[in-house]
This record gives sequence, C-alpha cells and structure tokens, in this order.
Amino acid sequence: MNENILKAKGLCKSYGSNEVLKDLDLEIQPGKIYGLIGRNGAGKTTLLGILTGQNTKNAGEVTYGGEQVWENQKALSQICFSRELQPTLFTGQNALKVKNYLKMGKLFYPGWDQEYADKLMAEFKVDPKKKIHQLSKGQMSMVTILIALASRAPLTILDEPAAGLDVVARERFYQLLLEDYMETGRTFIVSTHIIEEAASVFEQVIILDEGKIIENRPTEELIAQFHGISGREDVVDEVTRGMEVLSTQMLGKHKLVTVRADANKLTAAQNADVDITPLSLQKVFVALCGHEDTQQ
Amino acid sequence: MKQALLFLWDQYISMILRINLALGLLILGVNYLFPQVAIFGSYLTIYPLFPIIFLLIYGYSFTTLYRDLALSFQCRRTDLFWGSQAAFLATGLGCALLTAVMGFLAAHLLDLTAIMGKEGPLFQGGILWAKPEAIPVLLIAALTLQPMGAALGCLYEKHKIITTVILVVLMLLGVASTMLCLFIADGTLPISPSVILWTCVGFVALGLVGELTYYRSNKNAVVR
Repeated sequence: MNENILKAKGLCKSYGSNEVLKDLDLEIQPGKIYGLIGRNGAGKTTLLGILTGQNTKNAGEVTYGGEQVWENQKALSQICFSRELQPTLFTGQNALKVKNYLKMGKLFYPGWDQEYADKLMAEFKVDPKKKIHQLSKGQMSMVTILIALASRAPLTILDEPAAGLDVVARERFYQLLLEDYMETGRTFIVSTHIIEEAASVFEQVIILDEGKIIENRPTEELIAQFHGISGREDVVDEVTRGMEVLSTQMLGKHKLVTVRADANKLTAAQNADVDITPLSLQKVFVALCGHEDTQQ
Repeated sequence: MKQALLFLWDQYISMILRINLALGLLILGVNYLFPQVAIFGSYLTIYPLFPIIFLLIYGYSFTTLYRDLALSFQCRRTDLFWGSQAAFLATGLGCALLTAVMGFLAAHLLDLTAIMGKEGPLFQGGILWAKPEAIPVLLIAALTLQPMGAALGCLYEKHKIITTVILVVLMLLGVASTMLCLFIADGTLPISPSVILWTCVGFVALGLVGELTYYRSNKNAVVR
C-alpha cells in the first residue's frame, strides 16, 4: 500500500561541480514526526526542495502515494513546504503583507484552516498589515509555522521553524506541533539545528551527512545504540575492543570514547571498571557528523 | 490551473491595473485642479505611454518575484506558464485600454490649452491613439513587453550584472521611443507604413524570443 508514503530513490543533485546529494534513498511513512538534521551545507533544504517538487534533481525519482511528485497537481496539493523566510532575500514573499501571504495558503492548500490561522495569528501577535520584510526574524518564523500548521496538508514540511524564536516561543511551537499531530495524525518533517530541544518531539530521526542519509530510524532506537565510555585508558581500550568507536578524548590517563554498540557488548562492558553513560541525540549527531572537527 | 489564475489575478493582474489606474487618475486629478503647475503638465504629456513601458518591468518582476511565490505554494509550473500567458494578455490589453481611456478623458475633461500654454495637439500621447496607423505598434508593444521582461527575469537569475545593464538600456530605449511617439503624434515626424511594419516585426520577434526563454526557464524553475 503506497498511500501517503513519500519515497525518494537514487536522488542526485549537483550545483556545478558541488555534488550536494549522492544517490540518496529515503522513505517517509505517514503519521510520524520526522526530524531532519544535518550540518550546514549538508543538503537539507535541497533535499526538502526536491522532495516537494520545488527543486530539480539530476537523477532519481520522488513519489508520493505511488505517483510522481514533479508537476503532479494531486501530489503537490497534499504537500506543504513552509520555507524559512529570509529578510535579506529579494523575493515575492517579502514584498507581501502578512495577510496577503496567508491568502496564498488559502488559495493553494485544499485543507487550509482559516479559523486556526486566525487563532494562531492572534496568539503570535503578528500584525497582518505588516509586510513580511518588516517582521522580526522571530515573527517570520511564526508566519512559517502558521502556514505549515493551518495548511492541514497531509505531509507538512518545516525548514528551520525555530530559527529566531525565543525559548518560550520554541516551547509553544513544539506544543502546537504535538497538538496538531495528535489531532490530525498527519506527517511532519522538521528540519532543525536546535536538536536537543526538538529531540523529544521527533518520532524518527533522519541524519543527512555529506549528501547521504546516514541514519533514518526511530529516535529512541538510534539513541540506545550510542554510549560514552570513560575510565582508565587500558581498561577502556579493553572493553571497547570490537565496538565501533566514533570519537576519543584523552584527559591524562583517563580516556573517554563514544561508541556504537549493541546491548550484549555493553552488558559485558558494564562489569568492567568504566563509566557508561547514554548519549543525547545532539551528542549522537556530533559523534556521527562532527568527527572531523573533533579530530582537529 | 484555476489556482494559478486566481493567484495571478489577485497578485499580478489586478494589482498592475489598479496601480496604473490610480496613477492615471492622480495625474488627471492634479492637472484638473492645478492646470497652471508646469510639472503636472509634463506628467500628463508622458503618462499615456507609461503603463505600456512599465509592462517590461512587470514582466521582469513576474519571474523574479511572483513565480517564486507561486511555486513555493506548490503551484504547477505548467499551470503557471499558461496562466501567465492569460495574465500577460489581460495586463497588456488592460494597460493599452487604460492608456487610450486616459488619453480620451484628458482630451475631453481638461483645458489642455491652459495646461500646456499653447495651441495644438498638446496631449500627444492621447492623440497618438487617435492615429489609427500607430495603434498596431502600441498594441503589439503592450503584448510583447511582458514576455521580454519575463525572459530578462530568467536571465537575471544567472547573469545579474548583464541583465541589469540590459534592463537599463531597454528602459532608456523605452523613454526614447516615448519621445519618438510624441514627435510622431504632433506631426513633427512622418510615420510611414514600412516603419510601422518593421517596428511590429521587431516587437513580435523579441516577444517570441522572450516567450521561448521564459518557457524553457519555467520548465525547470526552482524556488530560491
């Protein structure tokens, strides 16, 4: 059954000689909140643009519900990609008043919920008569969140929705996202750099690194595979033998390593004289994608 | 397609026509109220061709601003292209009609002698529309300038400086053409059928090149 499954197969994308996506495969199951994380320049926005038919690809295919997304009205109308608004960019959005920008949502998204949009507008205290470029960074993020939530699109994608929001507003955003998810059960993909705060919201995490998806699994399952092991250097070396060591730090004779290992190997290590600590999603991300910086 | 058309009506067609109508009414109004102020008289003289010349800029903004906006809301490129053809036609004809109406109103409502301080075909742009032989050129210009502008908008995405230079040159040519039209209108310059024919051919050729460039660019347009 292909209904509402977004599939990408063999995606390749280059900008000149810069290969951004490399033979990438991805499957987005309906009814989940996905977190898309990756370093700057990893290709997140390019990937999201291609998945939603807003960007071109050099090779590969993207389907939604078994049908091509590219130029397919049926598929396109089911997908909302609420992009990060950029104040410096000379775009059509920036020249519009907020109320006119929201009118676009009403026009293009079949499930648009105007009542909800009005409610969020009042809550966010965004002046509908202001032009987009006159808004603060935080208010721009609120508008992108508003579009995404009020679109009621079965597949809703948010690119950096928390950028510029203060901590209270970010909390409120995650709360609204969860409320909407509980109510509608629709699929969300949220691209963010604020990993730690969002980790509890993501049901599944996709990690994009150097143009490839290196992880796409449930958040808890992913986190459970990674641990920090610290202790005397020789003991740590002994217990981590056979484990995938992702990073190493030395503090005198004290050694701290980040490992990826299954439960059996960790159980054996627990009997040794070392400290074993679970890692947060952010630490897992750094361990997987930040190794070059750590080595430097 | 319906969504693309509604989008274009709301964001593009009605806005352009409203701006041009407001500008025309404003110029007529100030000249009606203050016929002795020379600067208002100058605006009146050059107004009738403004809406047509500005079609180039509107076409340019279509591909640099409005296309991005529509595509970011999941509008199909094909719908946007064919919708834009209807929009170009509507705004082109609308602006031509507006120009003619404003010329007619000015000639009938205002005391042009007082405004210009002399006798004769003072409101040249408006009178230009009364010359049947000039109408094809103005209509074809109105219909082809937007595709040309749209093509320049596509070019701007790849070659910003070159496009800006071309745009400035075209605007200067537009102003020069306006002056030329004024001389033709008041009879200073004769207007021969062959000039009209070749001008029309030139506009159509440039318009077709613009259409082709815009069509090719639109097929793989990317949201920035």
